[in-house]
Amino acid sequence: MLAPADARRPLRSSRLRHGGGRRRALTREETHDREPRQEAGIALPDGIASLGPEAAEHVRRLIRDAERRQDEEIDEALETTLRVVPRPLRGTVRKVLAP
Amino acid sequence: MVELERRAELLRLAQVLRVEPGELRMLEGADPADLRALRRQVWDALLERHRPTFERAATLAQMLPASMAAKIAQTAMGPALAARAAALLEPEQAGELARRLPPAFLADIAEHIDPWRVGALLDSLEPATLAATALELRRRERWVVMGSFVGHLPEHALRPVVDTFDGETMLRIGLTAERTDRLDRLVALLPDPRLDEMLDAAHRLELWSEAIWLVSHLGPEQGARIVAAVERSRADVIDRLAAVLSTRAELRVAAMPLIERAPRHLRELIGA
Repeated sequence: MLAPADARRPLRSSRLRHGGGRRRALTREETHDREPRQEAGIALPDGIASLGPEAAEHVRRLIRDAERRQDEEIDEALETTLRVVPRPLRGTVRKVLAP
Repeated sequence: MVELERRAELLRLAQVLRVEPGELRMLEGADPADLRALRRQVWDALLERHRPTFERAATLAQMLPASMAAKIAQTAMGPALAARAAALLEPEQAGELARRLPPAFLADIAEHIDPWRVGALLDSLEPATLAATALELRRRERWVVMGSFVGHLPEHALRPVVDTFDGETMLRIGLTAERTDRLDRLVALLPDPRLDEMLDAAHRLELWSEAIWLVSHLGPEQGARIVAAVERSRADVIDRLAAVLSTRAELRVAAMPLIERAPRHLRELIGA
């Protein structure tokens, strides 16, 4: 789960900061704020929850880590996509990926 | 065999969470059905978390020429985004895209896809493409991914894919195959020398649990072929099998239907 403070931080990728020129990458607002970023809030199956609070919290942490990892990969992928699309298509692609 | 079933589920859950299986030690007491439910919940949650993005990426793939969409998928989107976008494409479109991607990238994508969600997509892929991807996954020793996919392969692709399996591969993916009802069909496609290789791998790599798990899911015809393969095995292989069966009651119970059908001299050799 990304905490609200995390959501306001700049993206990790240096490519966004140093991409420069006319190439505008997706901003965090475009890539993040349009999407729900809360923890999925999975209700653990009873058999998992019954293993005890420590095990349940461990599972929740692993799920949060998986979500965070996916968030980072998707952000990175969206940025890179805009950079490699041929210039004439870039506007269209931007509209599709970040309407 | 509930222990092996649990082990297989933990491996699959680790794959979805993308952690080392050792990180799931706290779940070793869980019921396999609960682990399966949890894995599917996590997979769905990860898909839903970014569904609008995946849908837009799929829309983009539909707008662009297939060759360009394939290039963007490979060089920019990466496997995580491409895999989940592909799951939202029409199967024919996904197949058109996949034909333009190299096996190495398809193998990357396979690691991010849950095949029970994309069975139709597999139907649209060329058998040669699936076989090349299977070969790449085998090279990487991605047994869990292979095991997940093997149950969902279209019939026409089974032989080319199974032809890429050696004895060790068959044992390892047999354990992680989610659809154990397909194992009999897979074994039926293996020639006898490959069955010999399987037993040799079980002995050499101490994969007897995997071997017995596999044979416990076979019907009478394929079971008889395994019994014949055991008969052809070297004495040291049979001795080791006998030792495993005598010390591990769970495996002995699982192997019992086959033991009962074995010729008397073989039953004596394995101490039955």
